[in-house]
Amino acid sequence: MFDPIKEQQKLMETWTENMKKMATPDFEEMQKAMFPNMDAMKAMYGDAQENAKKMYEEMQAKVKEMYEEAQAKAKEMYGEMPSYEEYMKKFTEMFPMMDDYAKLFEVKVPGLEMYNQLFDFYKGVMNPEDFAKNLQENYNKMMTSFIQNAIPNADVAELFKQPQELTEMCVKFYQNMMRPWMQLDEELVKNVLNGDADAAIKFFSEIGDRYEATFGKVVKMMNLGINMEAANEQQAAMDAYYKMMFSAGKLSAIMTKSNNANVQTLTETYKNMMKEGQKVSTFREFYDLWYNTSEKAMEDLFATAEFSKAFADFTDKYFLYLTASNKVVERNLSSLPIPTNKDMEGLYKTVYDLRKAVRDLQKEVAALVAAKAAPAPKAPKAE
Amino acid sequence: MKNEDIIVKMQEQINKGLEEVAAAQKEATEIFANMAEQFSPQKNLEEMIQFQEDAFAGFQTLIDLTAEDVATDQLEKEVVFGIGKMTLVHYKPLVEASKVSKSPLMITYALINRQTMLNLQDDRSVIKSLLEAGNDVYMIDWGYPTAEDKYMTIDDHVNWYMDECVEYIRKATGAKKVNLMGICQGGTFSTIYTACHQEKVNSLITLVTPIDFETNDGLLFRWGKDLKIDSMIDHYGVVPADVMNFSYLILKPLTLSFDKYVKMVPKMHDRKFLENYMRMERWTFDSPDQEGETLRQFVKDLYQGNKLVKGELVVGDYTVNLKNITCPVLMACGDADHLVPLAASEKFVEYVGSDDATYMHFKTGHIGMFTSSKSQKEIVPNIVEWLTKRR
Repeated sequence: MFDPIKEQQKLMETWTENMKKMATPDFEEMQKAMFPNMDAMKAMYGDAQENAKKMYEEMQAKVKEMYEEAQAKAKEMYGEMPSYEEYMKKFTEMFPMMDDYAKLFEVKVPGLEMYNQLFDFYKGVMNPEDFAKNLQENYNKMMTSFIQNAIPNADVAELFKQPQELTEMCVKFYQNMMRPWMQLDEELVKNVLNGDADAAIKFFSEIGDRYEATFGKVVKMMNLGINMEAANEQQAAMDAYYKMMFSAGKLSAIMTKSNNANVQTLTETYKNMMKEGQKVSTFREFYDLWYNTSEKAMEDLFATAEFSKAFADFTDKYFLYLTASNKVVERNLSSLPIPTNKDMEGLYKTVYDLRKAVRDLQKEVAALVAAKAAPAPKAPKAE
Repeated sequence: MKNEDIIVKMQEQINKGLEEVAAAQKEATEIFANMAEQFSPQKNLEEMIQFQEDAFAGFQTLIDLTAEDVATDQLEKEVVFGIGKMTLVHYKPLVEASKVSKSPLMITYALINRQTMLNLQDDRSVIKSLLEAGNDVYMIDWGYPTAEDKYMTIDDHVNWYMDECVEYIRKATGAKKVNLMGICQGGTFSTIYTACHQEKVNSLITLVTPIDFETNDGLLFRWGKDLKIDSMIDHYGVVPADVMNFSYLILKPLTLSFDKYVKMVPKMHDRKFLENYMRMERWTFDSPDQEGETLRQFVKDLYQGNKLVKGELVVGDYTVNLKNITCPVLMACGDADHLVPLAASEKFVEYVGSDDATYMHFKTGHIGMFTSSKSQKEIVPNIVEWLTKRR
């Protein structure tokens, strides 16, 4: 299974190696090393079908698990119940086309994996002490999973899921690569690693600013020789990647902070419900409680200036990175007998300009034809 | 402060923090222990079985449903004109020829999503209501842009495509002026068109249309101001529809990506419900890609610059002045519109130069304006009545 985070890590490691190789004339080898990773980056856009299948399989497993748990609990109170297999067999008899339904189920209803995850989260209540202890972590995991699975497979959505996992990677990158060039407050770095969302917001803001003035200058350093433009473009892509990573980290930290706040809201809401004598005795009731508080928390987060600016910055950096990395790809495709985007751009512009020129000429022709068809003005009578 | 004192102080803070964490954890444990006690195996089992039964019954209905069953825009019509990927369709009148208005109506939808929203199904069709009221209805279909359309601007849409459509209608019907109805962004375009070509417009109807972008109500308006659109447009040229869809889904992330499907399951067995649901679902994701230069100007000049209201919007050879709009004007909005908040539309009637400007708002949302039962009972009849008096 393709793991975008690992691939990006590989990409960074390759680049670090390549930086070393820049001192040698081994440029061709460097390009070869770069491109398998670039291809892998592209592959991250293509596994929706696989996810859908996994989602269906997991849901079936969860349903079975839930049935068996409930069956065990119900046994004491209501006596023996049919096994899950018997229950499903009955279903199969009722619906002979069940396999077809199963296939439909795989792809037709998005978001079911989230339903499973939420169920797992809810199931944790059966062990209240551990549940309370791991509440925050499990909740964040679940919300991350929502972003990974429930949002459609558009380009932005693909990257949107990565910020949740970038924090640790970025701190490591700071410690291994950038630390000699810039010194951030060590206490701040420690707090980030301990999961302090406020510290992470500050860390990503500071590292972004300091990068420009220190390590970034090395990344963008001009190259020499016949391949200098190609090398410059590759480094520009890496520079864009780092900036995107810092921005993604900040966005992730802001979202984590909101998730943390939402856990508190969820428990507070439940506490109030208890006071009012309301019960949460089923998964569905828990789902309603979760849905109402979480949607409100997300809406509140999205409406803040902090989120709006961080989201705008992240999408900007994301597209700048894509543009820069596509330039590298395009340069390497230029030797093949296929038109690249750069070639097509010129064509699109020519077609656009010609269409407008034709429109104007058509109007002129129509006016001339109309003028010709109109009766000629009478000549003034001779005196 | 001495080092020892600092250490003592830090230790005190750490202890305090640990106590707080322990207290919070204890409280949470008690709360969840209570929830565990409330857990009802029987009710959970019944709920789960019901969900499974609903899902399988629903899929039995879904498996029999074909694309034809949920087809939209089924009223009889003819493509009468076109430029590039844009076409102009003319709907066949539903009243006898002598009762068809001599003052034609041209509808312009947004570039985002499709105009089929106005004729989603027979019992929820704005177009049908307009035809039954004797209107001679034309509608622009912008088509599905491809990479070659990246340079298309607002000027091209308004002063080229829309103007040629109006010219066609004037020639075909013999009417000197045309009534314009614009939906959402199509309303903004119709407004710009009217300000530039008032002599060709009899009346202007704008529905759920953003005009005043100063407000921060609604996430699109909040985010639009911070958005750095250049990098996105430079990368894509023509922005894929899924990017736009994603932007709309995250406005209500759990509702639109998740909860609506969970809530659908218990009703899926009902064929009529499922047909309506699937029509809406198909419409939602039947989205054309966005021509980059148009989107760039829309975001920068309108969401960020609010230039239409300020009288600073330049579209081709025109500087758009809303005071040039002197024909009758109607702006109708939904109180619960999460895409175009009331604040973006309600003052429009004050900005135009018309003496006959009406503002209506209804208790509905952006899409509910056209597809809800309220739409057919209340909203459309009001709009039709307004138009009938002025056409």
